[in-house]
Amino acid sequence: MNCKEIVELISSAVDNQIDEKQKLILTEHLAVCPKCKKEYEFELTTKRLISSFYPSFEVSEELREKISYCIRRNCDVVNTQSTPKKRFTYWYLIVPVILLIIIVIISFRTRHNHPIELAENNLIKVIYKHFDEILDGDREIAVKTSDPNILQASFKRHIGIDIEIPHLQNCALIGGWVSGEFGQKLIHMLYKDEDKIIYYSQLNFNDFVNGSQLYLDADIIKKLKETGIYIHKEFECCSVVFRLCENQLCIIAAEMDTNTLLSHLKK
Amino acid sequence: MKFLSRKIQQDKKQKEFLDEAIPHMNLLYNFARHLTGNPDDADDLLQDTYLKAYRFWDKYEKGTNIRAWLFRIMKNSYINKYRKDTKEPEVVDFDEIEEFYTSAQTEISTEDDLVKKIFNNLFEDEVQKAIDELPTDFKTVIILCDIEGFTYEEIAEFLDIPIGTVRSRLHRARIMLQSKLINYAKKKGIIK
Repeated sequence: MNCKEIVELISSAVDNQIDEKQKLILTEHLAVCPKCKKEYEFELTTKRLISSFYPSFEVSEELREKISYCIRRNCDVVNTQSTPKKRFTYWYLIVPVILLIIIVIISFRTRHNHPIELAENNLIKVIYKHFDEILDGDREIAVKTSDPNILQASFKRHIGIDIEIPHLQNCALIGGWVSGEFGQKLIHMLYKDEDKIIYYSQLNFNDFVNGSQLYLDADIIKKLKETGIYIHKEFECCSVVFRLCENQLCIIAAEMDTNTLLSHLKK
Repeated sequence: MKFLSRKIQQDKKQKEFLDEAIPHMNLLYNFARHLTGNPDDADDLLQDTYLKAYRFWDKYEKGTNIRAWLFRIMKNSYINKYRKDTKEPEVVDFDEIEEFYTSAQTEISTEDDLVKKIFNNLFEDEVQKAIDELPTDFKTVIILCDIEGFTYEEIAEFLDIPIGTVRSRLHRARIMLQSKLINYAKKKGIIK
């Protein structure tokens, strides 16, 4: 082998990557060629220099944990600034919490809402709807007046019948309107007891007895026929009283307990 | 049922990956530190490599050299990232290497105690700096061979190059290093 070929062997020899036969050839050549020997020594020294001077690094436990954690969580990006322990891992709670907040807000805003599911043409639902609109300020009162005669004239003009405007104890009339519900005309009156609004609605009782689109449950009709009064007990936020006066069904609702409400109805 | 089966597959994949790939993390980190030259970039490179490896775990042929597979991912990530960052390709001037080689040989032939002098008077950071300044291809073989202690065969597999290329790159890399170290030694007045 000439020097050029030996030089090619030197790197392999330095890295211990030659076989016995090559090693023998190299040793024989180096023994007689000082130039190649120096070349070999220099390369060997350089390798030692690198391995002895160049530091060895170890991955930190924190980084190891971060990567393992990320793989377990199937994430694509590792945040190098924060440890996995500090990462917020309760994202699955976000949706229920938001829903809960929305429900609380809605229930707070609509605390007057009907708490039970009723058919659209159920009288109770209709009454509640109107009462809610009043309390929430969504209902524009057609006739704002404290004069019963003005309201009576307005009702007559709309439904052609003289309706006697009831007088409620310790309450002031504040207005009223007429609405058409499922083919029937309902009249609505509003009163005020200091800061409480009392809603009063009236319609022909016989319409319910004979059957109409707007209906009232049979047991309520039966009770009204027997006793002339029915106190609805399903709602916590307000009291609702059904009262039968001759042929007229009066529905009175207010955000107050039933006894207080009834005290307003006493003549 | 589909969800359950997917979950089982995913758990299996995770377990396999954690069992097989994680034990080589130190080795790869060491390589990353030498490649990048600083701990922050090395952290990023290691994370990049492992997340990529996990994503493409299905592509890994079971029973083959996992270290080679991981090293290849790391080297490619490094090249992609750093070449992207610097926005200019790394050019290796082979004529310059030959010049170093000739120069180094001249130095060797003129000074018998040169090796000893350099060896005894250089500091760790100077050796590190000399290695860090090598072009990536040369630095890589030096790290894998002289620092990590891999065989030529393994390095060839890691880098997907012939063994002959590993050998010649190593030889040239060492000559370049010798040249750089001689220059340091000259600057420090160790040799004239």
